[in-house]
Amino acid sequence: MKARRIRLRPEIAGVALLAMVGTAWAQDFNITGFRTDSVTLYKDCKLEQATTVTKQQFQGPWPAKKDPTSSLYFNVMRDGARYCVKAFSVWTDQAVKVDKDSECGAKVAGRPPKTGAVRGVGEGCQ
Amino acid sequence: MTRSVRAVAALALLALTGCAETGSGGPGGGTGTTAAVPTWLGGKGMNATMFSTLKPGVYEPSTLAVGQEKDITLHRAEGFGFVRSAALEQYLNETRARLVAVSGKTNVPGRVIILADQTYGAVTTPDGNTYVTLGFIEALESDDEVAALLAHETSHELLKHHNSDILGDMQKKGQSLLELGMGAKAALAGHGAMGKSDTRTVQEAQLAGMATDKLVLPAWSRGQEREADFLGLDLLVESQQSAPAMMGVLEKLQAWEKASAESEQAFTGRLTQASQHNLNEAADVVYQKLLSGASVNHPKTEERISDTAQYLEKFYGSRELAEPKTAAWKAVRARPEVAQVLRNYKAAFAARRLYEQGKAQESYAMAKTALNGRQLTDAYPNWVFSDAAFALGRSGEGFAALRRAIASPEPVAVIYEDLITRNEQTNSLRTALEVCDTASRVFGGAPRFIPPKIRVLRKMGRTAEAESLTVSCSLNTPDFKRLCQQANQTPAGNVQR
Repeated sequence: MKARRIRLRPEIAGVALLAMVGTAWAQDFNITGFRTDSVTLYKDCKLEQATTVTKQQFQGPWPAKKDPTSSLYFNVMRDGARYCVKAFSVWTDQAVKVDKDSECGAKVAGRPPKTGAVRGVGEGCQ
Repeated sequence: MTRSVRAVAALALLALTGCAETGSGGPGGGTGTTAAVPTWLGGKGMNATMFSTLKPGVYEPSTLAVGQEKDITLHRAEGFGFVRSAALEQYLNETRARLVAVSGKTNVPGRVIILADQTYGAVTTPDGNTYVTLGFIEALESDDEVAALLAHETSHELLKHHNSDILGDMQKKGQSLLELGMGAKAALAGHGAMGKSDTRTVQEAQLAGMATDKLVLPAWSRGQEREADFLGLDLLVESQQSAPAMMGVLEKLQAWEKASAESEQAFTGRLTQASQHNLNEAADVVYQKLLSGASVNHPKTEERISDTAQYLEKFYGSRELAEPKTAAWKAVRARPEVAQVLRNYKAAFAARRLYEQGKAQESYAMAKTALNGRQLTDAYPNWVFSDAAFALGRSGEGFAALRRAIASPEPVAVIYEDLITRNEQTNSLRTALEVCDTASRVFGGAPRFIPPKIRVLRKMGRTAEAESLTVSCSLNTPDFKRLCQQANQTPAGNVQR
């Protein structure tokens, strides 16, 4: 069987290239704020080239996406350059999934009063 | 404005402002900085790691410990019982053991127990036992998130946070004694009720008690939560786990709180309605709000996330942090025994929700799917199934499921409560009393069964016994005082022995 050769016209190839670049940087979510007083931006995700942005300087939101190599970092594009930020240091608009069945739509019957002397992460449905 | 009205107003303001004394670190938080933990709450975590304050050596048990097995028996009576899964429990306990090992403390008591509860929650008792809801366990996505949850809980134990509960406990007992004393004084003086000045004294003690219980201790507790977050994070770093998982767990908690919160509008409406009814009830509504931390606008968990991030950056910012791992957690969840438990309880929780929504037929069908494998003899799924069956008039199936539930090696307290109520409804008071005593025995003398026993004794005309039990309940289990006193208002029936 003969292989079919596909030739792209230059303008189509250009658009395709732009689209690929766009895809590479298509944002997944936004960074909406800082959890820490300041956040370090690592240029090109090289940890030695860093600049710092303070909470006061932040004028978000920043388009961002997950780093393909590490879940500890997010990628952001600022002034045409690619940066990495520590994921734990920022707030994002990513939705955190909650199992619908665990919501407290209805009060749990027969739940006894708390007896004190306990320490916990969540308070449960009140 | 009376003192009571002022107290309610002040509390309402505090509740509505969402504990605004601490800084906001959330999205759009502007220039707000993350709150340093106040020194009076033990804010040493911001100057040095919490881990550095832990002295290696033998762990000294809490003075509030009642004994590990008794603690487990008592907690079995709270909620809907335990979920048993050997593989899951082993994984959780091994994870906890690794965290304890890096703490430098030895002989740390306790183990992890899974609660048949769909909500997100985890508590650690003075005996070191950590009770985690199955709902929360299901939500965890990595080895590190499991470790983070257990690291937080273990930190409460290592930091001996329970010892601070002595204050509230003693105050409640003192208040009960004062009330009983004043009542006795009135009785001796031949008055049916307390005098004006005595009433004022009791009210002042009640207000002081409420202030401690609802304001001071929760504030203290919030400081302790931060300390546990920080030490938990240290333990994750020390045990080579991915420390940001702590924020992941808190984010899940925050998302769940938002999903389950009542709206501010609904809260305000409820408060207005309650205050028209009576002030104590209004105060109760406000206190519940203060304590719940479940309001959409309440910054509690959001602040904890910011504070923990700040702490991680400050003390470990220059370190290479470990990447999260999922393999071990996925593997344990995929084991047939564990997968079956998770699947069946998920179905049982869903069935319960359907039942509470009045959808008995759907609940019945869903509950039936939960009854297979080892869950065929588990108490919770059988209890859920029995309720749905009774609602559809299938009492034969209902009773059979209840019998299986009662025979389960992991009993559930509400099943006994159901039996007590059913017997009261059919005027089988002697049987109801027997069930009260059996339940009390099965659950290690859990106070939960004292109010129904008082109620049944009153119906049987045994008022002196009911009165005596009410006094001992008020003194020994102050948390149940109100319920016991309410039960003691039950109209007395003809004497039955």
